[in-house]
Amino acid sequence: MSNFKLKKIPNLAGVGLKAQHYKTILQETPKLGWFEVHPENYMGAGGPPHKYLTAIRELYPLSLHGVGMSLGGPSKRLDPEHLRRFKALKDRYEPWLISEHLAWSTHEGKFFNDLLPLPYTEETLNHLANHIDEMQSYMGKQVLIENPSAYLAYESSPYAETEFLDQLVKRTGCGLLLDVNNIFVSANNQGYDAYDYLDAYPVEHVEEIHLGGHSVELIEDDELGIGKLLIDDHSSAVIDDVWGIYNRLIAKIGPKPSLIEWDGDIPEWPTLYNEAKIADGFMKKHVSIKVKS
Amino acid sequence: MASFKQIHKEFVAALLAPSPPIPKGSVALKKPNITSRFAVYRNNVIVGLIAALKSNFPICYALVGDEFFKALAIDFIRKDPPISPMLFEYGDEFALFISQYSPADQLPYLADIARLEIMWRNAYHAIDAKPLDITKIQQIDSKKHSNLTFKTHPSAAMLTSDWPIYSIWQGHEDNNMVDIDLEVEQTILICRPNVDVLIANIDPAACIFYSAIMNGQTLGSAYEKSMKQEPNFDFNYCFGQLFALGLITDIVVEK
Repeated sequence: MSNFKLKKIPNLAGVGLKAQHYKTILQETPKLGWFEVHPENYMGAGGPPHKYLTAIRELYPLSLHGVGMSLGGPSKRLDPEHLRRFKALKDRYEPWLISEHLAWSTHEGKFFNDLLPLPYTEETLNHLANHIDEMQSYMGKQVLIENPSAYLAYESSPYAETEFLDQLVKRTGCGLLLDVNNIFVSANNQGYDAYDYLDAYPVEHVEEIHLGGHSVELIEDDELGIGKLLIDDHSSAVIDDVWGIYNRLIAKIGPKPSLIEWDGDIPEWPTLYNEAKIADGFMKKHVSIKVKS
Repeated sequence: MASFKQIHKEFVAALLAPSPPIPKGSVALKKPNITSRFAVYRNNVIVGLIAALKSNFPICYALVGDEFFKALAIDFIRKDPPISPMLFEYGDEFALFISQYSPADQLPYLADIARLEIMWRNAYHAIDAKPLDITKIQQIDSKKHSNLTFKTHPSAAMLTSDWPIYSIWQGHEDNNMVDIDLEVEQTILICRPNVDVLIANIDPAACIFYSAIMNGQTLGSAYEKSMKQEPNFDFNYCFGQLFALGLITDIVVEK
C-alpha cells in the first residue's frame, strides 16, 4: 500500500530540495513538477529532516539522487550498510526515480565526499556493471547513472564515456541521468566539443536531466594555453551555453524530468523557482513544435 | 596497465596528504596541466569536508574564526576522514582531537563546546518520540508516585563541563559573547521533544535528579539523592522541567 498519492514525476522541471526552503515550500506550495534530495542527508533516525521531507513528499513526487554509493569504488561489493539505509528511504518515501554517479568516493572505508574519476576500461566496465546490478537488485528498482564532470583523464581509458554509459545500459538495464552542465564542464576541461558528446550520447535512455551552474578557475601551470578549468560547484545560475545544450537535447528527446541543482551559496526560493520555470519554458517550446509538425 | 585497485590507492594517497600534489606511481594521467587538474579534486575534498565540519560545529567555528578553524579542520580531516557518506554525522572524534590540539590550548573550553555540538546533532537526528503531558501523572494515585519510573526521550542527554558551556551556547544564540564568566562550571540537559532542540542549564542537585530519572531509578530515589546533595533542592521546579523539556515519554507504574 502506498503512503503517498503522487508518485510519478511528470516531464517538467524540479528543484533540488534544500533545508532553507522547507518552510517557504510548505507555505506557498509552488506549482512545480517535483523535488529531488540527496538521500545521505535523510539517513538519520528522526527529527526535522524527516518531518519536512514527509510533509513535502505529500505534496510532490520525489527523486533520490545518491552521492555516496561509490559505484566506481574498488571493493567487490557495495557497502551493505549504505545499501540498507538507501533502501529504507526508498521504501519510506516511494521515489519515482533513483540515481547515482559514474564515479567513486569511498576507499577502504573512508569517504572522500567527491565524485572521483575512473578510467573507462574493460575491467572498470565489468566492475561498474556488477555494482549497478547489485544496487538495482537490492533496491528492486532501476537506477539512473549520471555522467561526471571531469577535470582530468587517464592515459589508458579506451572507452569513450558515451560508449561506456551505453554499455552499462545494455549490460544492466540501468537508465541514464544526463547532466548537461557536466557535459559543458567536461568538454571545456578536456578540450572536446560539447555537442559532439551529445551526438554520441545514447539519449534514448535518458530518464532525467540535471541543470546547474559552474565556476571558472584560471590554470596556473597552463602548459597548453587552455586558460581555464570549469568547476562544477552548483553555486550559481545555469549559463546560456548550458541552456543551449539543454535546448538541443530536448529537441531530440522531448520533455523529460529536468532538475535545477543549486547546492552552494543557496539563493532565496524565487531565484530557484525561476530557474525551474526557464527549463519548463524550453520544454513547452518543443512540445508545441512537435504538435505543429 | 595498473589495476583498478592500485589506481584508487595511489589516487587517494595524493588526495589528502599535503604532498605529493599528484598521484605517484602507476596512475598515468593525461597531460597537460596535471597538477592543476588534480588540485581540483584535492581542493573539492578538503573544502567539502571543511564545510561539513563548519556546518556540524558552528559555535566552534564562531569562537575561533575562519582561518583558525580551517587549519584545525584540515589537520583533523587528514587524521580522521569520514567513514560514512552521512556527513551530518562527521566529527565524532573532533572534540577529542581539539582537546589534544596544542594551538587551541588558549581556548580550554573549545573541546567541550564541540562535545555540546555533537550532542546537539545527535538530539536533532534522534528517533522521534512523543513527549508525555504532565497532567498524566495527576491521573495516577499519589501514593504510588514515589515508586514511579519513567521512559525518557531518545534525544535526551546531559553534559557536565569545567567551563560555562551553557553561557557560551546561549551567547552564540544571542550573538553576544562578551559578558561570559569563564570561572563557572556548567551542566546542560539537551532534549528535542518536537522540532527544536532544547538546552537547559542545570545545577548540581538537578543534575543528580535528572541522571537518576534517565537511568530508570524511581522518582522517590531520585528525590532523595538530590536532597542529600542539596537540602534546598527545588523538586517542584525540576519535576516540572522534566515535562517542560519533553524529557518524559512514558510513566511506568509499579504493579
